Amino acid sequence: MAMEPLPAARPRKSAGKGGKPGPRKPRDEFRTGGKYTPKLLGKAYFQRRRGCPFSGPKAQKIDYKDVRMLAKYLSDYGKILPRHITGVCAEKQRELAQAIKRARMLALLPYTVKFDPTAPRTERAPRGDREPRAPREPRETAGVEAAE
Amino acid sequence: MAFYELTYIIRPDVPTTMVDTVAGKVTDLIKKHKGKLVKTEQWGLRTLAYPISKHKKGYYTMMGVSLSGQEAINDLEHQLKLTEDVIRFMTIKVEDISKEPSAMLKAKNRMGEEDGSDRPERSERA
Repeated sequence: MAMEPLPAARPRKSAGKGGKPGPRKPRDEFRTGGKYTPKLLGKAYFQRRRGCPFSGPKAQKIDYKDVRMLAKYLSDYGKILPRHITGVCAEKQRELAQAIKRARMLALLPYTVKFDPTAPRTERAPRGDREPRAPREPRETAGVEAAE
Repeated sequence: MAFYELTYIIRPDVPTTMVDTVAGKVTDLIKKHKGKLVKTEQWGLRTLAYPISKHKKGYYTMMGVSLSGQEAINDLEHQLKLTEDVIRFMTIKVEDISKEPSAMLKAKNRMGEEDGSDRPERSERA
């Protein structure tokens, strides 16, 4: 494209709608004001889509009983995600916030979650009273050594 | 007449018959105020998202009610407050009550008997 010979002094444009995906991080930090890192946002960040998921003819209903749906609009800490992250329109965001607050009252959703951002994402907390098992020690090779 | 959704949580350490006892009480109250019980959903024993008065689980019941007048609601809420086995309740006004099972029951059916601790026969009663 004709954009190619441009000097690198215009990083914002090249990172935008150009064919080549520019350095992603600075742009997204600019969008969210650097306040929300991808790690913090989790699912809603990576699966961003255009348009409000609750508007339109075949849209989902917002209901305080639909815990799974509501949980998508919470951060890892259990806070309601701002709508510039989720793409929900202003009208529906007010409804959504109301529904989340109702679900919280009925202990369907947490008010807050103890979340450790330093922990690796895939690792799940050990269930209940059971302690995570210590890694198994390598099998004794005493027999082999004795043979020597 | 207006539609309301009444959801309440019963503490887990009482016998399971308590769920029906409280439901009966509420039904009587609704009748007393000339209301109509549109539907009842038992969500069964669920884990609470945070402990309520040191309980970590609770029996959830949701009722769709049509009532007239604030007095009926006030009385209903007052009686629930006095019931010690009910650890939390919420009444909200809704436009209408759908006949279909709510998202909660649908989610449970989808999970199937994955976590067998939740009595599956509870969810079938509607």
